[in-house]
Amino acid sequence: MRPERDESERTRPALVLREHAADDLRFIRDTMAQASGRSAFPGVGTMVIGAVALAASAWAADAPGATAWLARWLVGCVLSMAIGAMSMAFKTRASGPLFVPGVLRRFALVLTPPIVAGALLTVRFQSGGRDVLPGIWLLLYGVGLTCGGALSVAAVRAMGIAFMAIGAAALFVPGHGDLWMAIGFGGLHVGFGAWIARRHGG
Amino acid sequence: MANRAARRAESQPTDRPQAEDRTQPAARETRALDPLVHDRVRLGLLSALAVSDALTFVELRRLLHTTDGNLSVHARKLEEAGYVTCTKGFDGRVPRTDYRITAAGRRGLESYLRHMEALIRATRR
Repeated sequence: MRPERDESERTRPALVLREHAADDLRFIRDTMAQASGRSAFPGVGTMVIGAVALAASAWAADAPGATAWLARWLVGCVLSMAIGAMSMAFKTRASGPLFVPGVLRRFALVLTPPIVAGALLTVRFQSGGRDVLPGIWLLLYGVGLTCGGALSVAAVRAMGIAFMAIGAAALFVPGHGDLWMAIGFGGLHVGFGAWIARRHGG
Repeated sequence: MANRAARRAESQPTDRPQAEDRTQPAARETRALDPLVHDRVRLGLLSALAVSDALTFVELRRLLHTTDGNLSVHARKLEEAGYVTCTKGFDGRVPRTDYRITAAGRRGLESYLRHMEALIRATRR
């Protein structure tokens, strides 16, 4: 029995060292993930998205019919999503290749459910056009940002709540769809983007 | 039973050098660790700053779940060693302190990470 005990006594310091080293690496990884998540939201990128939304709202206001109106907003939406993903990846480039996919994945996981819900409601209430859809889009986008804000800075949560308020206003005061869209997707993005860029970087 | 004990005793001389080998490189790696980075708060501070352009004192305090006094003591040690830079300013009327990691701080953290990985490898043998 004695040799067995000697063996375990000899290897115990090595095991303790290994466990300590593994614990340190976990701590470093978790801290980096939290810090990169907090600072990943792009200020300048958000402002660019706002500018795209303002252009899209002017373009959609001239649309000849409901289908053209929807198509123009969808173009703006796809463009904005691409700008958002690229600017977030650009801002988190300092985190290294290990963290960029993690940050993008966490934001995508939070934003995907409301976007899917918005897509389904768009198909269902297509005929409602600019009376119903702006309220749905603004409200659901606000829900996504408010939830995503739990992983990020307070400005993101505040922006989410502001989107929900504008969305509620658009639902209950219909008839000004493009105006609500310009105020929400344009104005809020530009305003909060500038705030985030100033306080937390581009 | 006796046979089993004998087999253990026979195998012991070959096992002993392996066990010693396992601790010696690990001890070398442990001695090589930078004591400035090894502390938990300072390690967290450098890790957080390594993935951010800059973080404020308040953001770091929240992230690391520590107190004002503790954080400022550790941040000053890193600043004195040239591992981080500190910029004081105002956000409106509210004082604001921004921290950034320096090239030396990044090298220190990377070296610490390499030592930790080497330590794990050494104790796995």
